[in-house]
Amino acid sequence: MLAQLVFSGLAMGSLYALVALGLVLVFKSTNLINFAYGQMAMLSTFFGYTLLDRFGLSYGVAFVGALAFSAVLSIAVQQILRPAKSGSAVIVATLALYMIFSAVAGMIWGWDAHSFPSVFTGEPLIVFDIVASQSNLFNLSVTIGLMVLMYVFFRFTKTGVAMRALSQNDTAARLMGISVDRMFILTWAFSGILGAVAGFLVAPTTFLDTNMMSVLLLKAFAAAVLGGFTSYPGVVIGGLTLGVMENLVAGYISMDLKDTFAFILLIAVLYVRPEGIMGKPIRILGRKQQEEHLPFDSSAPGLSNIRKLLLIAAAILFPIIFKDNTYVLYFACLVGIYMIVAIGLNFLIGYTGQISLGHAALFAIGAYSSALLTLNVGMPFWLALVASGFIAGLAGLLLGLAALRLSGLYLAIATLGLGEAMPQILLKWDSVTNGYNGLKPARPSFGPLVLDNEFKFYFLVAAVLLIVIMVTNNLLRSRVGRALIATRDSDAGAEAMGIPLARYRTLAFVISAFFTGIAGSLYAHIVGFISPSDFNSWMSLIFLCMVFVGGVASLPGAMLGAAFMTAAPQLFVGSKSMSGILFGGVLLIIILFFPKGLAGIYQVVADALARLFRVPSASKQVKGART
Amino acid sequence: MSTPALLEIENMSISFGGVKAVDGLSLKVEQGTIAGLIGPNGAGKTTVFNCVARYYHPQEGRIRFDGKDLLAARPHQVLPHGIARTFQNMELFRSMTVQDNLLIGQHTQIPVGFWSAAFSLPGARAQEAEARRRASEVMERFGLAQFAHAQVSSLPYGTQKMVEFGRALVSRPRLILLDEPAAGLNPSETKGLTELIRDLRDRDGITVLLVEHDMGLVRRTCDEIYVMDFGRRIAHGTPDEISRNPRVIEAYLGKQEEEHAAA
Amino acid sequence: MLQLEDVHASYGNVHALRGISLRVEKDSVVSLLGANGAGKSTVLKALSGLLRPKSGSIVFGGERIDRSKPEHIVRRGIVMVPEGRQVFPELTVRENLMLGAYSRGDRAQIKQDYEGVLETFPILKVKAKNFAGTLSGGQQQMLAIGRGLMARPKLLLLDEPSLGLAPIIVQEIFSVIRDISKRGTTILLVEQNANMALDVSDYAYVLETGQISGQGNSQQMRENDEVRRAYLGG
Repeated sequence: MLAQLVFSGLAMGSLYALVALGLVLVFKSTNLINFAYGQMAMLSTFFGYTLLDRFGLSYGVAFVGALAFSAVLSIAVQQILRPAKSGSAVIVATLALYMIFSAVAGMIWGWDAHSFPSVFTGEPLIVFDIVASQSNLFNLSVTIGLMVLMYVFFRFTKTGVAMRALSQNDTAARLMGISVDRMFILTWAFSGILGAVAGFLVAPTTFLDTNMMSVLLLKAFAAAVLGGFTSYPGVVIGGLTLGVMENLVAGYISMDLKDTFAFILLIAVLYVRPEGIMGKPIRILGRKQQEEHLPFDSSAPGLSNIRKLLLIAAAILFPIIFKDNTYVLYFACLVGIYMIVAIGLNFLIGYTGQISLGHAALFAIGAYSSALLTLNVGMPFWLALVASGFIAGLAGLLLGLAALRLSGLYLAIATLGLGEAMPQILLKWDSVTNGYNGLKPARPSFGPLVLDNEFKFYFLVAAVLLIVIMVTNNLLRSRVGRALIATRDSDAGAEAMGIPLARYRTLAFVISAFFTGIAGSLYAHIVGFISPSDFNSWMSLIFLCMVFVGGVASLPGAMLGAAFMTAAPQLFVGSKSMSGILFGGVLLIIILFFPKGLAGIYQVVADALARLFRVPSASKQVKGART
Repeated sequence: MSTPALLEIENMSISFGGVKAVDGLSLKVEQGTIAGLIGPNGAGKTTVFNCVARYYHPQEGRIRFDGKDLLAARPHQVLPHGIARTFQNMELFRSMTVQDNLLIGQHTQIPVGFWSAAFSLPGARAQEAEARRRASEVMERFGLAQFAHAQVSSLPYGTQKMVEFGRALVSRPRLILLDEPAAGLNPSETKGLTELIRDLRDRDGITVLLVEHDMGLVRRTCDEIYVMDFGRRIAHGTPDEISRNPRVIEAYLGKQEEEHAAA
Repeated sequence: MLQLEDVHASYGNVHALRGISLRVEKDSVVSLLGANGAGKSTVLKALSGLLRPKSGSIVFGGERIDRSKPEHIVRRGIVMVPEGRQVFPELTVRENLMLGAYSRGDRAQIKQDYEGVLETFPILKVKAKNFAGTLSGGQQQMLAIGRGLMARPKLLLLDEPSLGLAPIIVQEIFSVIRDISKRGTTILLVEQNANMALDVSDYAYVLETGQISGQGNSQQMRENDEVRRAYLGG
């Protein structure tokens, strides 16, 4: 039994290793994390499938065709990503590509699963009680073969050495006459080929559908982190270890825990052996990548009172105008709830430069806390609302403490892991959460006053949102807000000014989680039904997109982003595919060509209008230097 | 001579990966003086600064400030002790305005709690107003008033240096550590800087420890100079003594330096 | 051999070079002096193609190169040894040196040049299989220069070769620079240590805030009061 589990674990782990290698290959040379990688592999596998199925080509020809297709696709993606200005922009851009590729595949091949033929139908080999299916053996040998090839390439060929040089120091590499452009293209092509191989190997064991690579990609991230993310042998060992260990968990403990285990292991490993430099006696100063941030002035004049009144009047008039249109009002409530989340997430990303790809988990904690407190404990709604903020805040504190030990990329992956694990934990814990069947929280109420329709919900959400905005504004214009931003702009400088980095970085997590928690509570009571699958990683990524699309480090930006990300998919109604392509496309264009997001676009338009009408510019952009 | 020095480093050593960056260094900076720390690149000067600023923890030795053990402090507790610093590559808060940079300089002196900040309570507002007043005062002095609301990253290099100076001073420290303040400045800016550093001592009574390559600046400002090479102290004395010291000439100033100095 | 005509360049909105014109004659050693931030390194970056000038022309061996990419410039024979060594820390000394010859195709000649470089810097022969990151600062500088020589440069650009090195190593580096020059390689040198630089050069330019503020042969420079006060510590 043990040997069998280890063997099939190795076979599965070798696939994780392949995908992880593809990710790391690109990361090492270009410092990019490609979240669309799985979907690219999926498209390539579909392409190969079409060659097999539709054109009746042989397996070998279809395989090579798929590899070639994947290489070309990969190069295309590299070209698309070129205008991206920052690492975080790349993350969002690849998420947009994820949507587009899924939609394209759905449009061409449909959203249903296809079965993919396996080349090996022969009898499995049996060695010492281990049943080794031919496809498992094939997977293992292909993976091992590719690894040997990669080793030889990087060790002994001129191009391979040049690639390694490039990943160590690109300026020096260029001075050697190495063409960076050509190397990047080559790297991406390689990475694409690895992905397609993985897709071809995995498709027969699962099914061929638009989602086939999602879990594999997440596990590959875990494998890559386990292995250290920058060492090829390390990544391979990470993949194999993960494959074996999760198989052991599935075999000896519980099948259901198999997927969760990967992420728990990931978080545990990151915690024990973080890549972060905290805790070591040596810290490298001044090596932070300079990302350009929106100018910040804590004494900039805010909106004039007239504008404030106008906005509030508009907010009050809106539901009165749409009083009978429950669809619009319900929708406005959702937008308001997500605005609270986006403002909270922006605290983290915008003002302290820490990333979270797992905010849906905090949202879920808020929603479930509120639902359970009102349903099981009989707590009044308003108290549960506040309490769920604090409970989520507590989770944020734990996350923040863990985050202190992790640097950018690792934090991103750890939070992604948390986001992925949360729905599974909620499912598993069905004695409390009612598992798949979900919970039905009561309508929000204040004593005898029950908010029982969308019109009333609207005012509840608007009131909470208003408080959140005011608190955020006050904090940002105070010593606390300045200290947060100081830690983002220069950690060494902030410490020299007497700002305890750890405390403020954690605080940002707590505030962010608090807001997200109360938003979760509002969501639970207004939607009236919650179940674990509502709070998947996809939701986290949408939250992230809100911040970036709206404009990082901008309060109106976060709100615009939330409105856009919630409303836009509704505008592109029609087929699921078309909406995915259009929505993904718009997202991609914004993130690539308007780095300051919707807030930035708004500013540009407002400035242009102001200039057109000869009104003194409304721009807050300070140009004091040129006087 | 009986009063203890303001900053005392005693027999301090630190090594990175087996290489001794600072090796048994001792130095003293007396209250109200300007001390220079010079030596070739890689001699360990910035490491000394980073030990005093508590970014690094020396494996051996002691650092005392005003008689208190500084090694017990964490990096963010150094400023409250009364030690401010500037950085070789400037660690300004680039996206923020000049005024905000100076307000952050007073972070430890604005006793406003989280909740009173979140709800902008009257106490918080009064503290904030006071901090702004102090910031304006410093901006006036350094000729930064016109840039108060300019984003720091949009300012010319020399002006940014002034902002960093102002930020270090705004909290009224007793000792200031200056890491290559003249780097990147043109000769006329360096002249202004010389005046400014003297002013710190003569007008504000602030003690200064300075790392600098511009020997002209060092000679014109420092009361005493420590010379380091390979992590060790190789000389200590007045600027005149140092420029005649054969070991210093050999390791740092170079032979021609000596000829030109004599000329 | 090399001629810059009214070259302007900037990083973002920092105008780093404001109309630089200078010449480097074949087989000479020319140095650029000036304070930190005066634009010396920027001149080298523009020459090697790392930074594209905004206006002006750079002509090398009769051809305009101010719009060329670094890899094309290396092929034409301009090779830069960057400031701060910038060796590839996780490649061996041998791999580092071989990368120096990346743009060449003449295998036999490369082998011979490799032996030549090891002869010039015997320490590199001892350390050939070690990772470059394990070398000392001085050894890394030698590796960086050796790596530059592997490209068979017609014009070698040296950016602050003495930076952060012990005086004795600096002496050694400069004697190697002299040797390289004698063997017929033209050199453009950027150096903080003006005394050392003038010792090896035939001609020098002084840069101040992105402009040339003075020039002359080494003797003239040494006798120039302004230069002495500002850069020679006189």
